Amino acid sequence: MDMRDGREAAVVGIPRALAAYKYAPFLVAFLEECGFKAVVSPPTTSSIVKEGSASCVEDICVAVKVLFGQALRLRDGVDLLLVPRPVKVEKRPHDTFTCPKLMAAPDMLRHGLRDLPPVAEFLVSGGREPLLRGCMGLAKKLKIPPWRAYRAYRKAYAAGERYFRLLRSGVHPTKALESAISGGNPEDGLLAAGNGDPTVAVIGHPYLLGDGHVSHHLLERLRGLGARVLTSCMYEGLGGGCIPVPIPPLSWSYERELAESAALLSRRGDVDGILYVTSFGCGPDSLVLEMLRREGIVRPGVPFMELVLDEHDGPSGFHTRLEAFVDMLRRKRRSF
Amino acid sequence: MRIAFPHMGNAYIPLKALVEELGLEAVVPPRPSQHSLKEGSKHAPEFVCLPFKVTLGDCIAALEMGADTLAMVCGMWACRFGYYGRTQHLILRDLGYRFESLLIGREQIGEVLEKLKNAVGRGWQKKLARALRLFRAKARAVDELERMAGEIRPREAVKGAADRLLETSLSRLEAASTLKEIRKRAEEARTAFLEIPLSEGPVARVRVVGELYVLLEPALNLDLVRRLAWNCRVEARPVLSTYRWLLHPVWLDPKLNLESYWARRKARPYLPQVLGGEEHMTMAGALTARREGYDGLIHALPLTCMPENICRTILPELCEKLDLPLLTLVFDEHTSPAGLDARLEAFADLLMAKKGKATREGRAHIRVDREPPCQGRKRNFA
Repeated sequence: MDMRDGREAAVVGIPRALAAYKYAPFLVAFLEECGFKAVVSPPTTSSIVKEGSASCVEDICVAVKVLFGQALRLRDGVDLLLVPRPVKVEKRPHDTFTCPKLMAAPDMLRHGLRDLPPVAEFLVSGGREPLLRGCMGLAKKLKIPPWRAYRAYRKAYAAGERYFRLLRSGVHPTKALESAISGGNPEDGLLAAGNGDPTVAVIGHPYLLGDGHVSHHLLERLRGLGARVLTSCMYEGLGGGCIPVPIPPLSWSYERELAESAALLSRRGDVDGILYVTSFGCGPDSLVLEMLRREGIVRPGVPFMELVLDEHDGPSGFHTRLEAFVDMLRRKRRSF
Repeated sequence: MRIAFPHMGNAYIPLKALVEELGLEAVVPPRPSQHSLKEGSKHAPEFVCLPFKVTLGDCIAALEMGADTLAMVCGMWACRFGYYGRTQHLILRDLGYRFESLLIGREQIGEVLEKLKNAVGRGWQKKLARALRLFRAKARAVDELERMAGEIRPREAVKGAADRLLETSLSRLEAASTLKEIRKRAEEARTAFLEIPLSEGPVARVRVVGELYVLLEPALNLDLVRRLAWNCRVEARPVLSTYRWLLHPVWLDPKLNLESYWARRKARPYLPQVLGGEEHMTMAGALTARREGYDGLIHALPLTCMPENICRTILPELCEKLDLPLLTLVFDEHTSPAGLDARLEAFADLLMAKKGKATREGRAHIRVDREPPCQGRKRNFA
């Protein structure tokens, strides 16, 4: 696909939604190295969510609506949209998948929205090196010679790892993504700093925790309440170390990651309570949450609250619940 | 071993035969209703899809009836259905019920066979083979009768004739215990169906695609197919059938597997990945509807269903391209029959108009054929 039509470099847009919160830094580095100009859409705003909700099916989760809104926002400025399609992202003896909505994200954009620039996909689907395979598929589509794509992949891999390292060190996911894409000092976004009172572990998909608007600035708010915050993003890319409890066989890789981080975080001595952030109508979460609670994956006795996000922006009810939760944790700490 | 399984349409007839032929006892809970739905929703997670809630209600009813083993299909798919059994049994155990789980899936097949072996005893292979033969014959007969009833229902002269016949022949089929008897009962029913008097008048044909359980369980889709037939003179044909669902995974009818393969090939330009549900049948059903002589498409799904919601974002554009009228129906525990009726009637009128058969007689016919309760209400007002 030759889209340069005389200009310097073709512009490829990556909507900041869904799996882009995992792969955007990697893809940006890959595309820049291949001579494209890569643009990641700006952080979500209420108008983006509104546009997305208006052009999307009603009862789908808010993250997909954000994807639609972000794609519409990018529509005019780019020659090509690039959407990651993670399918098999880990090695297991059984079949593994991600959420169907992530697996069909490019299809939904292609057939669900009109007048979009062509939508390319970055397919992560098993193999010895899934990312390399995805890159080669993308390179073929963009007419990049394989040797160049391979060199770009090596550089991009390092960039992706850098991003994961930032996340693992406890940097705010939004700031980590920002600094991985455009450079900048992520140090001020350290969530796990200090010896806060209490320590709250927040578990949720990176596309919810990293999206300040959709999550009603949950992480900052918790910091503002004086809490130290650990997130499930800190276990990003670790791929199941020594998990203290048996996790039921789950074919959803990302939900499995969340269940594992819930098991690990709830067994850390310094964690006082757990917040599970999910979106309204999230399919896998509706069952995984049930397993977390009933199979003792979250250590019994650890305060556990579930917060449901949707596209309606009215944060006050949300914030009241947060404050009550933090107050309760604080009181529990003092009573011991 | 008193085995129970949740309802899905008439799937209980062949399943009951399978269990009883193995020498075990089958516990069949009452048909799903508002009561079992309410009971299920009380204990199910909030955002889970509707079939989970209904089948959970069925399981509770079966346990109350004295079942000691709950059978459910399970698997490692991307759709939530694969995890139904495991999660439901967790919930039921937390509610204090004691029972044995029989989760039937590719990963657990050895375990399931072991359990069956212990329960059935000597000669279990032979018994299982015979039971499977009976199961297939009954499933096929049930499917055929349902199909014939579906064809006759919108055309019958006396409303309800086809369903009355279907009911009696299904109960006779349920009582049949040998292959020969099943064949005889099916043949009798076939001739009886052909004798039902039909009325003249245009009938629109609609293909129904969507999520399996909502398509096949009349209690869940508020009797969509009958409503369309009686109120609107529309012949609605689901792309899926109980027969397909029961026999496709066990390869007892390779034709079904071939059909599924072709559907996947057809759906590939739109959905290249397997999403774990029946999305390929939905897409293929829409793509072939025009060629197979359907006038419209109804897409039925439970609220928050993942694969079907993805189809739902794709179908409007596709149907516009195919010039195929589309009606999307989302079902949850609050869906009301009145709202559904209004939408179905409007859709049927549109189909008739589009077909060019909206002659005065045609329209009059639709009006005359209304359901009796509606007339009763009118009488009360007067």
